[in-house]
Amino acid sequence: MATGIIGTLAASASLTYTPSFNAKVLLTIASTGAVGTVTVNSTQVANLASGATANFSFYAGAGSPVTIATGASATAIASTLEAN
Amino acid sequence: MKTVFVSNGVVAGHAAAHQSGVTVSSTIPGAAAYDVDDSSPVDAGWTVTLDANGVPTFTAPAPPTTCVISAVDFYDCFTPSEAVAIKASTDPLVQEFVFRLLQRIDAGRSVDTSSPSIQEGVEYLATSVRLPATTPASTYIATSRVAEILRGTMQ
Repeated sequence: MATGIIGTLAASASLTYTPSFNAKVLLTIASTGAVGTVTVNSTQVANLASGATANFSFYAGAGSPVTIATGASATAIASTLEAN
Repeated sequence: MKTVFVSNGVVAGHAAAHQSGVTVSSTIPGAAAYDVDDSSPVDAGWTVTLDANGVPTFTAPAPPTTCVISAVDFYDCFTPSEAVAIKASTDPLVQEFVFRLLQRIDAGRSVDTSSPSIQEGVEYLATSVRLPATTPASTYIATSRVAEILRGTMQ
């Protein structure tokens, strides 16, 4: 069971995580440049102006891979809470 | 362990996995990956050189310096293909950037590349998907060109 920070991302990077149990995934996002974008499984979830920050959470099903990607001007910390 | 992703000799991004089973990668196709210590200060925009054994050395970018040049010279910092793509853009923000630059050219004014509006404009050109869309999708300028343009290096 993974609980806690699962990874950090800065600029053009992605992270893939497959929860063992149903999970709530939380993203803390910041924009470091003109426009900071973040996607989850290729769907854009954030488009932040320069210097902006945001929090975002979503549920992920057990066994379903989740890929979080940051654009060139975004950073993110991903953490999870799995419910077993 | 932090994984640093390098494209065209420049750090394009980095990521770290903090749980087993978590994988990290670059969103830039073909980017090379190097592992560094978690405490390493290496960040996006740093340059990379490889020694004979392929061991990377990372160098922080020089701090930005104030650069005031004429608007015409600033326009000449873009390559012809970059300028064509920027002028043909259907993105309202890019069109506004072009409009303001042309106004400055017409008025014979200068451009301060250290100003936030110019820096954010150039960064936007490097991070926004080019419109009208191209296949494969690309940005107006490469990320590695941002520092060069803001230094006022004419093409």
